[in-house]
Amino acid sequence: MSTTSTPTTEPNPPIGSAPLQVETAPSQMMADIPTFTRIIGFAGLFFLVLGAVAVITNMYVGPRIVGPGMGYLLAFVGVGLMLFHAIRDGEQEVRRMYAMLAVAWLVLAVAAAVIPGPLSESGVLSKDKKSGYNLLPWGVGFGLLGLLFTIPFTRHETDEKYKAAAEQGLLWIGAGLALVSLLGPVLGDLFTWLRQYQIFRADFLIGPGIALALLGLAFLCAHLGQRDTSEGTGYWVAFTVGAAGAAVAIYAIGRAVVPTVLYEGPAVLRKPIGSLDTWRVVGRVLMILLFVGIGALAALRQLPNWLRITFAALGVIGAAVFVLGSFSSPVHTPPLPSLVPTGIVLVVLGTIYLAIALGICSDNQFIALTRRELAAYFLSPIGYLVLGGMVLAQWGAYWAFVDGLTESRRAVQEPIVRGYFVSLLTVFALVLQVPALTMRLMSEEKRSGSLEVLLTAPVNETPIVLSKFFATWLFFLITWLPAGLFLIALRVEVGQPFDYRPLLSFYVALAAQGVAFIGVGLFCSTMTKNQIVAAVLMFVVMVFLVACYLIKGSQTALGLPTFLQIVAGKMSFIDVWIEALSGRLPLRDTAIFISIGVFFLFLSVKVLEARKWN
Amino acid sequence: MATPAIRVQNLVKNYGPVLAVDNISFEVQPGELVGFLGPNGAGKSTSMKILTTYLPASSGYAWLAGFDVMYQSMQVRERIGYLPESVPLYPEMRVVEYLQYRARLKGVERVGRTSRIDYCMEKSRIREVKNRLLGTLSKGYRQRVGLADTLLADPPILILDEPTSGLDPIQIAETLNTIKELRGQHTVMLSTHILTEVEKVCERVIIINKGRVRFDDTMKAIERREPVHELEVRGPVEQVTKFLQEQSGVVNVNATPVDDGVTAYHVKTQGGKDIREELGLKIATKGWPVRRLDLKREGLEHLYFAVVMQKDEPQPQLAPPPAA
Repeated sequence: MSTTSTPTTEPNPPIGSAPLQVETAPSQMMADIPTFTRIIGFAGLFFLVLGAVAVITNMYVGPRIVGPGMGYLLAFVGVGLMLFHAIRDGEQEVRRMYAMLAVAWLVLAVAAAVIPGPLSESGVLSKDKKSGYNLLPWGVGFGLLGLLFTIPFTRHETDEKYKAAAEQGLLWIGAGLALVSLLGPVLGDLFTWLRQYQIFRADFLIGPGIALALLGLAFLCAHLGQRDTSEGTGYWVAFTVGAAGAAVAIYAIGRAVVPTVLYEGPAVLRKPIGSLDTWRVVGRVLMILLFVGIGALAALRQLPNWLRITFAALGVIGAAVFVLGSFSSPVHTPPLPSLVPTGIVLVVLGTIYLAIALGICSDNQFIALTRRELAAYFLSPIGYLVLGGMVLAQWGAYWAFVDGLTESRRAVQEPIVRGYFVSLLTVFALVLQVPALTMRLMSEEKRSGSLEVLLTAPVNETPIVLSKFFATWLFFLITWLPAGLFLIALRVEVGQPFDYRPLLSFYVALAAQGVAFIGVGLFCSTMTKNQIVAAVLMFVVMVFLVACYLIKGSQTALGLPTFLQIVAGKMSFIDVWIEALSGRLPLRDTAIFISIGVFFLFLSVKVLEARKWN
Repeated sequence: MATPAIRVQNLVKNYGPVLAVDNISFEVQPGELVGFLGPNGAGKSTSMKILTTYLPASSGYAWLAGFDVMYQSMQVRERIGYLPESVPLYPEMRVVEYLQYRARLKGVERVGRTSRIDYCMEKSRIREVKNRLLGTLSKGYRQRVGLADTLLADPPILILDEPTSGLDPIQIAETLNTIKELRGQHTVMLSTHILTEVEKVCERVIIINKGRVRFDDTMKAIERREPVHELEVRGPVEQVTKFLQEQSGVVNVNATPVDDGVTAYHVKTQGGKDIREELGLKIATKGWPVRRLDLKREGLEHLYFAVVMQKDEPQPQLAPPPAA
């Protein structure tokens, strides 16, 4: 108190009179010298160098004690450890060194993209070298590493000049990659003479193009993550990303639909004998009405003007094309097929861009809440623990699966992927994973009291519950992605194609069951303030679900009444997996899981609302 | 008169058999800065939770800015900023990120949001920690982040539950200063059990104890309260009392023995007139030695003790000690 400049010795300085001393504090928490993380970082560097040396010597000198596979593994582990160090240690020298490393990765990426390849394949120099050969996986991989090491630098850097430079770098690299990968095929499609260059060809998009588009988006996201996106350039960057995505998607759809409709003309509406086909006419009218509806959205006054103009233009053009196509066929050359696969890929990529931009720009409460929940997984150890655990379990299952494949002397029947997912390890991991993901959702908010803060803001219970569910569900699906990615290694290593399509039906089934798992888990978490109790409750539920499989499989069914046997059979998620992996997606059983999830979400909302019931 | 910012009518809240809030009623006019006082467990936080629509009342009504807390909860929540007792924050977020997130939840317009957040950080002096993780902030800073959060949507009514608990004296002074600046543009209701704070900033005081409103008046009225003459005189009690009562303007005399032969007298006069000099002169002529002669105003502290310790109904347990 003596620091105030009031000359009179009042016991309490009068409030508002004397300017109080400028506070220097936040009682600055000086982190300990991060010795441990530094050791980890050095170990990482050691492994990386060792691995790289092993790989290169194996390639040029001949087989060594440490084989190339081991070398790649060492390098991979080393990079992981260094990344950990880069994230944890923000000391000036350390972060600048990692920034230089990031630049080095980017230079390597550019080199891999530009230098014609293959460099040498088993000692024989290839004749038809072409640039871009090394783009996958090396160019994209190095680019990703560059991005991963740039992010911690921009977060730690205190010097505005360097920070801004890094942010700008992220922005321009991202924009460049997105432009090349998305606009390239579009331009190549419009101007034939461009197709002599590789990046304008459609087959470029299907290969490295997808990877580049996603990498570019990752760079843009990293840039936006550092910027204020509610106003100014941050908002406009996000807006442009979304608009570009939407434009590309619309272009791809239009490219596939418009020439076809105009070429086929009114003939397509008639049966072969010449009379009008009622259902086709109805379909055509519905399409026209759909576009009229889109055009009618322009009448909504609460929408911003640019959106109204876009809707109006889309509606008018779409309706005009379909009306014109119904009465005449102005195009006489048959259109080239463009939807599969280029069109589909462009639509999907454009939609991803649009969705991410919406997620960043939107002020919708549900989106804001979901973003926070999803970020909480990526900022807390539990998220990484679960992700790491799942990767490990799936890797173990993959190992066992490959082992089984090589052991068996006779041909393995398709679908071979069945034995991969339905294994003890994956089921065990799932049983542990779900409670770990859901336990903290609501109970943590209740315990810390942040639920009170949340519910005294103008937010309803429903978006809170739904956002928690949605974010956890997304994360749940992310943890199951590596299992599918491991199979790429199988395809590359063995060189034999196998039927991958059952994977799609498996993932649909898993997503549906995820709704049930996360829904019930969220409900358990809503019931209690204690995370442990929530986890145990959910664990019991998961064990029960596994028991259902055992009951269904056992001969005696433990002497349960028939009704319970049927219920247990329906609850057995493993049986649904087996079905789905044979390529038959059991829709009814999937729907049961979705409805269970929805029901428990409803209950969770009611439990939250129950505090207001008297 | 305009719609009262806060109007509470016969509000009751019981948690099972425990009566936390027992039939309280009061009104707060727009722009007022009200101190909500009471010992721990008096029902302050419960009342505030009802006003912020987090909890329902067992019976009775409350309106904020004319909206019923039970049936128009969304409208109420759009118009309040609430700082709970121990500010819970998400430890993994950064200060700016948190405020951005809260601003979106509260529907702060996109255009101008950044400058609004800047303004709130400026007001609650958390600029220098804006990029720190919430989990690493000290108690005082957490409290201020909470205060910035309440200001985000520029709500007409602020409900602050112990905004100064756990702060050091300088921080308390600064926080109170901020709150004082808010008076006029916002209606502020702040709960605390530190009396000097209330004396410094509040215009009006509501004291509740055991769920009941015991006192409700403006600070000005408290300052205007009639002072009491306190004197200690050695002499025969009955005669002195009689003599004092005979003096002109004296309304009431209270005698309590202090120690051997000396008695303390509390003398109230009409309109709080100061008759010290007169009394001194007269008693001296009587020959009774005077040890002390004083005019004492009943400050808030005195009032608080009187109100809180007052036993008007049989209570099995003692009132909790005021933790001032």
